[in-house]
Amino acid sequence: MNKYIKKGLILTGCTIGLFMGHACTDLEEEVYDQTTPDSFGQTPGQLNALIGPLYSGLGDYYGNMAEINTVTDEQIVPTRGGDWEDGGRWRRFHQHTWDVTLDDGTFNGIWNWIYNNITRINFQLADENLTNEQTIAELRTLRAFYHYIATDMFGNVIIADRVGGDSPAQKTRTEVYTWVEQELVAAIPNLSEETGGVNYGRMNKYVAHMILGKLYLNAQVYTGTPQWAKVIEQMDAIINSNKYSLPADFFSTFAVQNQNSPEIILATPMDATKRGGFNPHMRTLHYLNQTTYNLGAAPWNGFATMAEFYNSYEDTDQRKDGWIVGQQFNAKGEPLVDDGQPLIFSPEIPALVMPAGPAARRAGARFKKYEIQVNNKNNDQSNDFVIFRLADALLMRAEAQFRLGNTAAALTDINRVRERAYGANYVALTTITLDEILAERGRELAWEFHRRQDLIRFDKFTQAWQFKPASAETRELYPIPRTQLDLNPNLSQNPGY
Amino acid sequence: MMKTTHQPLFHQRNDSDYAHFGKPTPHLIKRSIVSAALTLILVFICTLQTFAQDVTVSGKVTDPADNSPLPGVNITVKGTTTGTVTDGTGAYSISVPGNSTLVYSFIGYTTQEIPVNNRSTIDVALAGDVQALSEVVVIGYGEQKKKDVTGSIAQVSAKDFNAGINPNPLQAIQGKVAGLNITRPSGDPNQAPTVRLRGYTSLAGGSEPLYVVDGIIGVPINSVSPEDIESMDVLKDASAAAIYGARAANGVIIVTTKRGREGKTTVGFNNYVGTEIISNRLELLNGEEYRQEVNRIKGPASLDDNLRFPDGNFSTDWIDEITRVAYTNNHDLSIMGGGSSFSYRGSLNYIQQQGILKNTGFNRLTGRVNIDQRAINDRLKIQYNLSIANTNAQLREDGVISRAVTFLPTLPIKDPGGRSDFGGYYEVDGSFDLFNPVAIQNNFLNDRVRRNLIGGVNMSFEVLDGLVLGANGAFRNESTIESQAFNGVIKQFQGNQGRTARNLYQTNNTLLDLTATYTRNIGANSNFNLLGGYSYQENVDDGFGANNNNYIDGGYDLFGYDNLGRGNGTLLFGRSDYVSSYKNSWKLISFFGRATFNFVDKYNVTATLRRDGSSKFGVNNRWGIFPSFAAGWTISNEPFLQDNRVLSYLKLRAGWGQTGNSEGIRPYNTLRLLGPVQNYYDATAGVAGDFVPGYGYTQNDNPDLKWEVLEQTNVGLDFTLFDRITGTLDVYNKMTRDMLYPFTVAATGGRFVTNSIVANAGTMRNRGIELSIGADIINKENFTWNARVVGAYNENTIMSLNSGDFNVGIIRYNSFGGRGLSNVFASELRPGRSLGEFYIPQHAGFDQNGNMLFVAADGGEPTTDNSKAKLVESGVALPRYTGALINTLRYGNFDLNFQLRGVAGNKILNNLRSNLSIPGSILETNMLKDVQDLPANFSTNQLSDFWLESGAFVRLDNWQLGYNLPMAEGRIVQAARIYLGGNNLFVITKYKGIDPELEVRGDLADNGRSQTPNNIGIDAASVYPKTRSFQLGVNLTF
Repeated sequence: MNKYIKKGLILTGCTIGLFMGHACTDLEEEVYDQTTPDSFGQTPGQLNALIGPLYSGLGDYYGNMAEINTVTDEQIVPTRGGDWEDGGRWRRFHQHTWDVTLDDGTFNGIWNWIYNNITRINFQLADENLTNEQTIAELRTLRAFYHYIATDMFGNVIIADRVGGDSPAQKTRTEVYTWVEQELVAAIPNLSEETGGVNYGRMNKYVAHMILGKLYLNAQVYTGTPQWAKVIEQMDAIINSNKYSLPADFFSTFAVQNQNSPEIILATPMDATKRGGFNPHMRTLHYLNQTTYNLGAAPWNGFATMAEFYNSYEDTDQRKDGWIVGQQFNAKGEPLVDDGQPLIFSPEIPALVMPAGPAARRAGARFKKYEIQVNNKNNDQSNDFVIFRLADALLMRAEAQFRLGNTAAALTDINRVRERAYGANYVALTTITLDEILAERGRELAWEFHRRQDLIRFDKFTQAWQFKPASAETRELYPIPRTQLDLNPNLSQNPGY
Repeated sequence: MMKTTHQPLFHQRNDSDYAHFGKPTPHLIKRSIVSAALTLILVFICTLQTFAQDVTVSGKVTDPADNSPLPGVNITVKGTTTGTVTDGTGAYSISVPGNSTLVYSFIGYTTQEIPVNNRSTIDVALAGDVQALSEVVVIGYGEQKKKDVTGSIAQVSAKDFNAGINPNPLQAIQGKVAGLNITRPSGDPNQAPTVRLRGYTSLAGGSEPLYVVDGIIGVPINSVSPEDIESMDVLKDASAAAIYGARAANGVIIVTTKRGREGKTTVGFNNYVGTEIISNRLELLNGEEYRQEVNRIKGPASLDDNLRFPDGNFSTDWIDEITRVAYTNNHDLSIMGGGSSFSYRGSLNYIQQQGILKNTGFNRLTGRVNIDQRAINDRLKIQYNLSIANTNAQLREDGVISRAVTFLPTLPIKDPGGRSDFGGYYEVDGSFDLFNPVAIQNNFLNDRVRRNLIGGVNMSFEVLDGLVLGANGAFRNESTIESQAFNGVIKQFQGNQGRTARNLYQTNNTLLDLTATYTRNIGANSNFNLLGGYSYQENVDDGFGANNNNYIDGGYDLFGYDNLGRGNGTLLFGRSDYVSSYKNSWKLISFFGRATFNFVDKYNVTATLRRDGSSKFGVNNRWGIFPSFAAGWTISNEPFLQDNRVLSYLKLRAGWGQTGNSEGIRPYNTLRLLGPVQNYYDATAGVAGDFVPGYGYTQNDNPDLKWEVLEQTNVGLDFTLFDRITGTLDVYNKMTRDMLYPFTVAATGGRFVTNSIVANAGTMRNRGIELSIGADIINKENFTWNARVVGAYNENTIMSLNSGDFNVGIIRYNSFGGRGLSNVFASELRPGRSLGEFYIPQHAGFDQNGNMLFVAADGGEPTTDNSKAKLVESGVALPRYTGALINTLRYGNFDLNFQLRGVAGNKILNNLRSNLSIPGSILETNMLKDVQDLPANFSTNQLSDFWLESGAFVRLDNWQLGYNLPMAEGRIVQAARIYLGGNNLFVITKYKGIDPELEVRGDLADNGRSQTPNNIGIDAASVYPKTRSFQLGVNLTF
C-alpha cells in the first residue's frame, strides 16, 4: 500500500510541481556566502590567498606555547588567593604532575593545532594547481616544522605526509626525526635566500637551516646519537651568510614595531586589531597596571618568573631590564597602592599557593622584554613574536663547539652574544662550563619557549627547583592526548602515563 | 584564569551581541491612533443598530445538565444579522419582530431555533453531548473529534488561558499541559520562555516544538497575540506529530486563531494595566554591614583605602538604583461578524511592557485579519489570513546586573570630587571586577525592531461528495534590525572603544501545501478518512551589518548609533569585520499520507506515512521516511461496560511513530567549506605590507549526514469516573537515534581540517508518565469549583555517545565560573547518565587555613586538593517531577481562577551565591550577608556540593478575580467584566538564590557551533530579577 500511495502522491505532487519547474523534488543546496574547494583556488591570486593563511596558523605558536611554558624554571603562575586556582592546573604544570584526563584540554589543544595545520598544508600540496617549486618547498618546510614541534613535545607521533588516512600509524621519535631531516634537506635548495621583505614571517633557506639545526642539536635526546658537527654546519650557513646581525639595542628586537630587526630569522606577524593573540602584558601585569599603561581593561596578574631565575642576571646585564621589579606608578607618575600597601613587585615568591592579599598579588618579577604598548585599548599587542633569531644560532653553535671540545670557538660565539648584552660593562669570558652555557641561554632566550628543550638536553628538567620536587624521567615527554588515543586505535600512550 | 582570543569564523549574528539602551519609543503616538480607532468604531456601531418596534424578548439560556447559565451564547434573528449575546448570567434581551425565529448557537451545544410567536420571555436549555467528547481537536492538516483521537493530544482553549500579564502565548498555557514545561527564567520581558515537551531529546537539536499557526508552519510564536487565539493543540506523541515528519521530534503546537462566524457583528474590547515589582532580591551587605565585615575579615587598616571607602559614608543600594516599578498596558480591539457566505474577524492589539530594569522593555503592535469565504454551494471554502506584528524592544546589557551585584555599597554614583574621566561616575581605578552599574545603564543603547509579516491563503474545494482538494500557501517575512551603541568614556566600555553597530537580519519563508482528502461514512457510526499531500517550504536567510568605534568625545551623546560613519575606528584601526553580510537557504520537500478508520464508535485506527527531504543533509541521505501507527479502543462503549456507574468513559490508546529533527543544524553542514580564517601578513599588500583576510578550510565534510530520528511509543488512557472526574494518563518512551552532534575527530594530519564534524551518532532516551485529572468539585446553581491536577514525570538518559567512527571524546560542560575558576566544570557527558547531571566533589568542611576540604577519592583523610577528590553523581539539573493545580471558582457574578505550579527532583548549582560568599575576596566585590557565617580566611572558591541546592518549588503562578457586571438590555455594551489578577504571587522554595526557575536552552553553546551544551542547572552571574505582577483589566463586548 505504501508503494502505490507514495507513487500516487509523487505523481500528483509532481504534476502540479511541473508548473513550478523541476523545483518539485530538487534539494540541491545553493551556497551563497561560503566557498567550496571546487569554486575557489584556481587563479594565482586566489592561490596566494590560500597559502598566506597557512602561515597565519603559525601565528598561534605564541598562544599554544605560552601556558605550557610553566613547566620550566623560568616561568611560574602561583595561586594568589582565589586567582589562578583554575582547578590546580598551574600547580600541576609547575610540579610536573600534569594529569592525562584533567589536562587533556591543554595537550589536545596543542596536538590539534599542530595536526590540523598539517592537514591544511597537505590539502594544499595535493592541489594540482600548485606548481611553483618555491611555494611547494615552503609548505614542506612548514609541515616539517610542525612535525618537529610535535616530536619535541610528544615524542612518538604521526608522520602525516599526504591527504587521507583515518587511523595513521604511530612512529617512533627516531623515525620522525629522520623524516623531518629528509624533508628539510630536500626543500632547502628550492627555498629563497631573501630575508625580510616578501619573505618576512615565511620559510626561507635560513629558517630551514635553523630548524635543521634544532633537530641536530637535540639529536641525542631524540635518537640517542648526538650530531654536534651537523649543528655547526647548519649554523655556519646562517651566520656566515652575513644576512643577519645583532642590533646593539637588545630590546629593539622585541619592540612593538620589531619587524625590521636584523636579528630575526623567523617571527610570526601579529597585530593588536588585525591579527590578535599576542598578549603577554595581560598575563603578567598587575590589575593596577591598567593605569600605568592606560590599557582598556585590567590585566590578569599571574605570570611571573622565579626568584632564582631573576637573580641569575647580573645588574650590569642589559637583559635584566626585561623584568619589572620595584614600585609601580600610574601614567601620571603617582605611586600605585594596592589595598593600603605600595605596589612593589619583588622577585621573591613566598609560596606556590598564597592566601589572598596584596602580598600575594605583588609577588614575582614580571615580564616586559616585549615592549608593552601604551594607550592600547585592545587586549592584544602588535609586536611580532620571535621564534628564531641570530643570538640563538650563535649560542647553538657555541654549545656544539664546546661539546666537541672546541672551547675557543665556543667562547667566540658566546662572547659575541654577551658583548651585546652587557654593552659598556662587557667583560669577555675566558672559560665556560656546560652549566654556564645553559644559564646564558636562559638569560638570553627568556620566555621564548626554548627553555624546556634546553633543560631536557642538559639533563636538568627532572631536577628539583623551588616548589618543585624531582620529577620522573617519563615527564620529559608530554602524554599523547586522551582524546586522540580514544579516536585513533593505532596510537598508544607514552610510557609513564 | 585564562582568556583565549578567537576570531569568529562566521560573521553571522551572535546572540551575545545584544546590548541595550533607552531610546524613547513613539508609544504615545501609537496610543492616540488606537484610541482614535476605538472612537471611530464605536460611532460606526451605533449607526448600525436597527431599531425594531416590535416585541422585546428576554430570558435566560442554561445548560440542562447542571442548570448553569451559559454566557456568550450567540442569539440571532434568523435570516438577518440582528442578534445579541448572553451576558455573564446567561441572560439576554433583544427586540425582534413578533413573528421572527431566534437561533441560539454555542460551541459544543446543539443549535436551537425557536419561533418567537410574540412571546416576551423565552428561556432556553441548550443540550449538548458530554462536552469533552463533541469537542474537536486540531490535528495536522485536519480536525478530529476528540472521541476518535488515537494519539496524545492536549487542547487548551482560550477560556482556559492563564491569567496575568502574558504577552507570549506560551505564557498563556504554562502549566496547563502535562509534559509541556514552559519556563520563564527571569523578569526580562524580552527573553523568550524556554519550552520542553517530554524532556530533552537532543544535544544539538534544541527542544523547541514546531509551531503551526493557521496552517502556516514555523511561525515565531511571540508574534501572535494571545487574545487572537481560539485554541492551542499540543501534539505530544509521535503518532500525532508524525504528519509533520521531519521537524516534529519535539512535538507540535498548533495554534488556531479566532475567526469570524455568521451572526451579528460583535466588537470586543479588552484592556488591562499592570504593574511589576521585584519578587525576590539578593541579600547583599549594605554600607554599614560591609564596613563591619571588612573590619572582621581584613582588619581595620583596610578601611583606610580611599578608593573603596571614600569620604562621605555612602551606603548605596545598587539593585535599587538600577530597577524601578514597571508598568504594562495592553489594549485589544477586535471586531467580527459575517453572513452565510462571508465572515471576518479583524483585531488590533497593542501591548507595552516596561522591564523592571530601567531602560528595558518592549512594545508590540499586532494586527490580524481573518476572512472566510464560501461559494459554489459551500463546496469552495477560502480562508485568508493576514497578520503583521511589529515589536520595538529595548534589550538589556548583562553588565548592568552583574556589576550591580558586585559594586561596593560604600561608593557613590557620581564622583563627589567632580572627576571628569569616566563620565563623572565614581569608579575604582585598576580594579578587575568593580564597575559602576549606573554608569553602564545610562550609557548604552541596545534596540531591536522586529517585524513579522505573514500572509496565507487556504483553499478547499469539494470536488465530489467526500473528496476535498486543498491548497494552502503562505509567505512570511521577518526582519530584525539591531542597533547598539556604547559610550567609550565609561570604564566598562573602554575595552570596546565606544563601539556602535547596526545589523539587519531577514528571513523569507515560502510554504505551499497541496492536499487531497476523502471522507466517507459507512453505516451509522463508522467512517474513514484518507489524506494525501505534498508540501514544499523554502527559507532564505540573509543579512548584513556594519560597525565602527572610536568616536570623538561626546559622540555617543550626539549620535548614538545614528551616524556610524563618524567613528575613527575604520580609518585608524584596520579590521576585517567592520562590515559583514551573509546569506543561506534551505528547502524542505515532503510527501505525506494518512488513513483514519473509526469503527462502530468503538475502534479507531490511524496510520501515517511521511517522506521528507531536506537540503541540509548529505547527498547520500537527503530523504527520510517517518511512519506511525496508532489505535484506540473506547472500552466504555463495549457491552460489558455500558451503563457502568464508575467508569462512564474509558478509552485506551496506543501509538508508535518516528519523527525527525532537522532544526538543530545549520545549512551547509555536509560540505567541506572554505571560509574566512585568521588574517595573515602579506608583505606586498598596502604600503609596506599589511594584514589581509585569509581563506582556509573551516569545516569538515560529511556527505552521510542525515536526520536525527526520534522513535516514540505512547500508551494512554482517557477516562471519566462517576460522570464527574475526567482525566488522561499517558505513558511514553522516546528514543532519539542518530543524534546530531559535532563529534570530535582525530587530528591526524591527513583527513580532517578542524577538530569536529557534525555527524549522527549516539542515542538518548526519555521516558515518563503524564497525568491530567480534573473534576467539578462543587457544582451548584450559584457556586461552582472546578479543579484540575496536571502532573508529569520524566527521566532522561544519554544511552550512548559514539558509533564506531565518531566519539564525543571528553565533553565537560556546566562551567562553574568565577575568579580562579576557569576550566572548572560540573558535568560531563557520560553514557548511561542523564543530561545535566552534576558530577562533583563532596564538601567536607574547611581546614584551619580556610581552604575547602573534599572527601578523598581513595577513602582517606579529606583533602584540599581537588584533583584528588572523589567525584560523586550528585543529582540532576532537569526536574523529574512537574505539576500544576488549576482552580476555577464561580460565585454569583464573581469568578476566581488560580494556578499553583511546582517541580521537584532537581538540583541547582548556585554559582552566583558562591562568588558572593568568599570572605577573602571581600575587597574585590560586595558580598551576600551570608558571608558573615563563613570562616574569615576562606578565600579560594572551589567547586563542590557545598553550593548545590535543591531546586524544588511551588509557585502561585497566576490568579485572577473577576466580576461580571449585570448589563441591562438594550445597551450598546452586551457584556462587561472587570478583573484583578497577577503573576507569581508567592513561591515556596528552599533555594537561596533569586529564583529556582532558570533558563535551560537545551542546545549547544555558540549558536550550535560548540561541542559544549549550554548551561543546565547553573545559576550564573547575570540574572534579570524575577518579578511579581498585578493587573487590573476590563473586557467589553459590544
